[in-house]
Amino acid sequence: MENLPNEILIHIFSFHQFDFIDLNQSAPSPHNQTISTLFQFLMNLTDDKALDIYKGENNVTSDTNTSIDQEQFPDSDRKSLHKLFNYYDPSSYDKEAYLLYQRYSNVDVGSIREEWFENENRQNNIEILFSSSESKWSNNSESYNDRLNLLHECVRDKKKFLQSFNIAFMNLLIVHQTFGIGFLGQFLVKYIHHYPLVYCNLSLVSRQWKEAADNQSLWEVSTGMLQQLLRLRSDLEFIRKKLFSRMDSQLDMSADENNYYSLKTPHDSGLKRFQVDENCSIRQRFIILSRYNTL
Amino acid sequence: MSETKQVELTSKDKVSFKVDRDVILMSGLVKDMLEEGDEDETPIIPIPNVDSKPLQKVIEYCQYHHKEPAQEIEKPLKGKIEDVICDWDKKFLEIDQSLLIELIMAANYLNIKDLLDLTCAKVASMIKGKSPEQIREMFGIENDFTPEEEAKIREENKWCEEA
Repeated sequence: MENLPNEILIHIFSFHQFDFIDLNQSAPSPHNQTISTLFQFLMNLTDDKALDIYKGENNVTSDTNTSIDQEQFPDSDRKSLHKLFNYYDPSSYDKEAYLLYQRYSNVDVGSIREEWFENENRQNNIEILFSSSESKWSNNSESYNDRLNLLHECVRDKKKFLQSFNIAFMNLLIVHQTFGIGFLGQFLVKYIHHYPLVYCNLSLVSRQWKEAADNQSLWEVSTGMLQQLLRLRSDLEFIRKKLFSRMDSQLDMSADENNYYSLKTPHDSGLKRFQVDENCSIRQRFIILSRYNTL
Repeated sequence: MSETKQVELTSKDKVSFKVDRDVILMSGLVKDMLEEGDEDETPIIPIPNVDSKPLQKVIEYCQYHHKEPAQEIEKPLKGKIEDVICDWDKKFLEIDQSLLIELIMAANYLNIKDLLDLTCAKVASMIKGKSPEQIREMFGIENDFTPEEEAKIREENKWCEEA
């Protein structure tokens, strides 16, 4: 084995490009099946269906191929998924779902984001890659392919690649935290880290294996995964944009002593304030905000 | 009725194998050599980098897949290699590890892409989910990192384990 030339090792490693299914299988989690199901679900999510789910107006039970109530998902997974999507609702508090959330919610987003954004060049690269208008994120657009190519350029620098990825997911996380559905973003951040973990394992075997693992080819073969991630990112970004496109808002989800919630928008002269019942769940508040915006 | 043209391959340990020309044309190397050489009745082609045992396996592979083209192995490898290959390939890969490595080298040298994919995918399947220590043990690889180097790599990659 030690006599194998680097190009053969790289060829062997190329069979280890990871996709979500693989990530799920290797994830050290008691919830592998749920995670796998959730990823499948996310991958098949259409914009309309996602919108329904995120607005809480659909109990994720339609008959489309995006439903988590499909026959292909075992009962236990469907229940888990419902728990995941519903965990924010205090009235449907569930210990297992809460613990699952806790498991994936211990990332100090603020400090990581600050640290990564310290570097000006990195920030520029990231912004070129991931900041965009809605139209540019269309999957088949020229711009999308340009961005994919740009991402491949970044892949040549492994660290930049990982940082880019993580910034993208941190952005997702922040987007979702902002809108009260932070779990999903944090969840993705957790799982994308298993990809570099594969690199770590291979690179620790020997000097030769490290050299082969360092070869950019190992990273270039991950096109399929990049496309999936970009598509997912695009989908989620689309949801956010669609829901809040008219206001470009910053939300302050904390209520004052009278249960007034604030909604800041640059298009308004001041704060919009509205009152909700103190028992209203965050998800319900989210629905209120969505409706408020479309009025 | 004309007889099938044959080629004689001579292994590193001087064992000769007569193979149908059409069969061994699966090898890019042999194909190039035949195109360059004279039209001998049974050309003799030395294969100085491959011993008789792996060469025999290579010929066995070509004889089968000459008629039954190999299916492409999808990347990334989903599950075990045995789940994505045909029964014949499964049986073909029931060999010891040293012969597997020799086969990889032979497929690479003889430029037989499908065989190289099959054998490399087998190794990829074997190392899947294994720790560095397990991989070293499995293939008898010496850890040639100094403790400091190993600690440095682990430190560099620590963030992704902790995050």
